[in-house]
Amino acid sequence: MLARKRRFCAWLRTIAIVALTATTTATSFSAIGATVGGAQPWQALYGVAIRPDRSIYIVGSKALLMVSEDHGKTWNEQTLRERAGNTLFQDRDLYAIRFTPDGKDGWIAGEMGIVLHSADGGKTWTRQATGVESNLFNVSAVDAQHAYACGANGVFVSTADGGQHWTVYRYKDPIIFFDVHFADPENGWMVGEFETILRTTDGGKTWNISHGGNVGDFTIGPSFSIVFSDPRHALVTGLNGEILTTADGGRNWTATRLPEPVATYSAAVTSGHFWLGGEGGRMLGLDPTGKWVVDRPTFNDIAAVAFAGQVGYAVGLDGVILRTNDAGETWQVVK
Amino acid sequence: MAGGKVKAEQAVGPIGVLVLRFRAPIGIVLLLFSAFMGYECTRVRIATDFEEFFPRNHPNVQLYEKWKRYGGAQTLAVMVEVSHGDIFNFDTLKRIQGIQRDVDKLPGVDHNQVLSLASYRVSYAEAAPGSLTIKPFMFPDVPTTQGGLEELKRHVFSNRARIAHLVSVDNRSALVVASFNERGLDYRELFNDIQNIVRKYQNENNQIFVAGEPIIRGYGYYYEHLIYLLFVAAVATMIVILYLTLGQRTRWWAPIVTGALSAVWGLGFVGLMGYNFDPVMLVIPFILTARDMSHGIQWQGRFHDELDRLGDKYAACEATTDFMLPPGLLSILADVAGIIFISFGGIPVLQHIALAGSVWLAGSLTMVFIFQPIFVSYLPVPKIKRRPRVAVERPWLGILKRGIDWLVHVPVNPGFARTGLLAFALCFLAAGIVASIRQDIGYKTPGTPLYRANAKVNQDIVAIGKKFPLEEGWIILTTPPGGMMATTTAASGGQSVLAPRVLRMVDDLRSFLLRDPRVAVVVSFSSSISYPLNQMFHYGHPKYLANPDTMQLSGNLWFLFLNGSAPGELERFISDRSNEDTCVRVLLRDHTYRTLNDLRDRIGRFVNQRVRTDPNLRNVHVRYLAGLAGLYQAANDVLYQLDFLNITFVLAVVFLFCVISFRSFVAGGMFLFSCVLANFGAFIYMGIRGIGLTIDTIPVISLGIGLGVDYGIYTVSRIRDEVMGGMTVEDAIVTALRTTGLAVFSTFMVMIGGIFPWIFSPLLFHNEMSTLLIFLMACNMVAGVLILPCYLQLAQPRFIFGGGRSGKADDRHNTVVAAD
Repeated sequence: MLARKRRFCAWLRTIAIVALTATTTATSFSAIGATVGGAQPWQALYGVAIRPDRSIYIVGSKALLMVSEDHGKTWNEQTLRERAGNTLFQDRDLYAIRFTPDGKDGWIAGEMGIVLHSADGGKTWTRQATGVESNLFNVSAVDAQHAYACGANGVFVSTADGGQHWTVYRYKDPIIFFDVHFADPENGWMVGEFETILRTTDGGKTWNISHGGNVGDFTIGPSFSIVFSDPRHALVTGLNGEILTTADGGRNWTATRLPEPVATYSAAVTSGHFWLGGEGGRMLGLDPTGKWVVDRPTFNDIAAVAFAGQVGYAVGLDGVILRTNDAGETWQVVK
Repeated sequence: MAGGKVKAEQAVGPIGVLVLRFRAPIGIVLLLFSAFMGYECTRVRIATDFEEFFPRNHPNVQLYEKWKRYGGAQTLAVMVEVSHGDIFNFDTLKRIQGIQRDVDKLPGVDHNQVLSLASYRVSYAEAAPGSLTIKPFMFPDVPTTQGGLEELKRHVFSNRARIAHLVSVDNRSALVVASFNERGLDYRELFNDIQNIVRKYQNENNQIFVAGEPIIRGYGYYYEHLIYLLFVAAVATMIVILYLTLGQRTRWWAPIVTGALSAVWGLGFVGLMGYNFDPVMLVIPFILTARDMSHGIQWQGRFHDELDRLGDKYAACEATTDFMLPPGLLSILADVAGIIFISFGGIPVLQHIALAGSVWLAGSLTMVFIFQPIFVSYLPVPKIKRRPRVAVERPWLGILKRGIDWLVHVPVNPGFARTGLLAFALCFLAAGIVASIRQDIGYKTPGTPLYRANAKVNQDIVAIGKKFPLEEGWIILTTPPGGMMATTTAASGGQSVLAPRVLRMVDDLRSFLLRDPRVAVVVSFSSSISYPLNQMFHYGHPKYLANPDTMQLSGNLWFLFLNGSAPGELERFISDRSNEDTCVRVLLRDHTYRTLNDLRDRIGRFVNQRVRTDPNLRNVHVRYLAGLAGLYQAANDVLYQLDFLNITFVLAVVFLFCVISFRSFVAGGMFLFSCVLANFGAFIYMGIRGIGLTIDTIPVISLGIGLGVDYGIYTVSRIRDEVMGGMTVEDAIVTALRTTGLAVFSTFMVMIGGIFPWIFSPLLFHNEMSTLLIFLMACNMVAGVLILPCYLQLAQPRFIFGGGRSGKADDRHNTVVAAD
């Protein structure tokens, strides 16, 4: 009888186990740090750089770093942890990435004054203390010792010792500087709100207004990006299709308009030609005849463009990555 | 009837005499009570109440009730999809605008919650030097020039995140969504009005699809005529079966009277308690009526036997009452046990079914076994209308006879058939266990479970679901107050819904949840309003699609949105001006059990690891999961517990009854095995058909056990009686199968006759419930009539073959057999 009772209990137990088991199986998801096919729509991509070995580095929201060494086929997704806490405590946004021309040293700039440095071609990254808490929107890397970054609240930071020490410069007005460009350790440019274009010839210790800077006139749009095709020819992008160009190394700036009244947030040069990335996924290129061509491979805003020869990448919101193999003539979305 | 074998004098007791002696007062009392219940029947409201499908005491339902101001679950979605090109043409845009206006006129619509490309509430922000303007996309008019069209396109493309829930990524579809006030909605009127909108705006290039709870409920009325037809067919089938069974006598229709009166009791109780009579649950009343009819037929059959034997209708009534009442009581108590436990879950619709069903069954007991003898005693003696026809020898009849002969010998002949049958039973049980392990709780497929997958409404839901996720779960954050005041008094604003750290946490939650591919969109003030406005506030620069870095900036953005958007628009995200709560909407691709549970687990993990570990968020409380997804999850939770509890209780009652009835634990265990075998068989069937344990299948499984266990009891009792009467084991089994087995089959046919037509119902509820019930009854029949006798033959348990039972016990078993 006891054995029979046990059998009955076993039946009830079986039913209970069966019912419980049915609900405990869960679906697993790809972990951060895994190899992925591309970015996800909820990830904002803010900066892109291509090293001389053609490996591609993208930074984005929540400390995202994506690296592809196979021409964008697969990406290694990492989180460059900066804050303490568990893995769900997601990190600061990273806004820009640049490597030195030899590709050995690289800097990343980001939210709340974050600067990360790599001295091994992007394999490892270490935090460097800049002493600022403003967002740093762009970075320029000249060599292993010299790097520069600019950002909100009129902040500019520079290092001359590979990032061991950073010098902070605050512009007289707390405007946002969106881009910084140094061709050598001494000569640099910085652009920001109110069409402000600043120039330095002493490595960022002092800055002179090259254009704009009238912070009292709120009808003046910002300048977003500055790029040189050669030491004399440069282009500065802005709002509503407005751009500024110079043909004399920045002594004079000429305002012109793009064929579409859209903001262009980033610019790059390949084979002597400018390429701009902007609002609503527009890619605008200046062809050899001096005419602007517009391509729209996506609807997402483009935040950064980079070229290495004929190959170029543009990244933006909603995880969009664009690629060109023909110096910008055609752009495809990297799936 | 199998009971004909039993000697009448063994069963005669005082009940029949008492009933007949006081037949007038008892009859009058029962008729008066029935008349009262009949009056209550007139108060029955035939309706489907959305809220009754969800357990009121569940935290999700309570959360939903408390924060219903965030939109309610009664949301209508009308999608316009173009066949060629995109929606950016004058004709389609005009249609979207027209639908927006017409939907806004629908009865019961919440005018603050009608959203589309043409709504004045759906706006975008545009950056310009020194200014930021917020404009509606397409209000008050659609563009009239090609330039205007291009401009609209530009705004939509540039604000994709803002408009993604209303214009599809491929630009071929646009959605008009509207919320409705829950109580007092006239679904019929609403359905007709919505159909008029579809007719008015649909043409060759513009297909209209409609989804959402109002249309789902409304379709019930669309199918009304077909359901009436099925209703008539089911009633007619039962009457035909009744006539085929008892039609050789006059007064064959007497069970109709008792069946109708039982129904009056059941429905009267529904009216008395103020419940809704839900048409989607129609199969349950029909199985109860079929059950009633089956008892009635058995009673009449026995009555005719007694009449023929005794020759006096009063004596026959008394004898039949004494024979039929005890097993009837046992059988109906088992049925009540099968249905009453589903009331434990707190789901109103199941509680109503359980209570009204129990009263209905009590009505059956009273009407069939008490009122019927009284009623029949007042009727003239039923005459035989025709003699049974002389059987004509036909070849197929011979084959059938040989087949039946082979079948009844299967349990007694050692060999492949018996071994195979037992092996099959074990395999079936194993397969049932495997199926039950893989059994999902809740709905497995997108769309409404009320209708079939190929129904128009489900096709529409699937079409819309491909473009726009519709299943919405809410996460409610309650925080200390904040906002514009907090920008100057920073102490209170630090953890308000507008605080940067809270906005960032919500954005962290969003990206965390979106890593699950089943989560399509997460809408929050943070990701949908604050971040985009921050971007626009900073010239649209993508690097500013981010957290506002100060409380002041966050407060300014809130103020900008409040002033730039239509009244009521902010309330979709933050319910009042003190900024103490906000709603994060999680749009899911499906509402299956696993998706919902995984979502809850993930949110729980996030709250534990991200919110509770952050001292700066200690005053932020995250409550989840409300919204339609939360309601479905509440039902799933309860169904999960209910299924386990319910089956355990029903099986326990079955075990108890059988132990008492046979005075043997072995007997209890044997019938338990039979029930489990049949019940787990249901999981196989459900697995094959992709049916989950849901609000419609739980009562059926539950009822199936109660209704099905009788078959085994009848057969085993008969075998035992025959053994005690001196037969060999083999003869007893063969005789039992020839007599009781046939009676069980006949009862089975009567039972399924009443529910068979519902297989053809357009309502998936009806279809699934009826097929599952038929399958369950069939499994129970095979288990009771074939597998149990095989076991008896092999094991020869003491409670049947050991002898030594008292004469009293024998009488009782005889009465059990009499139930066939």
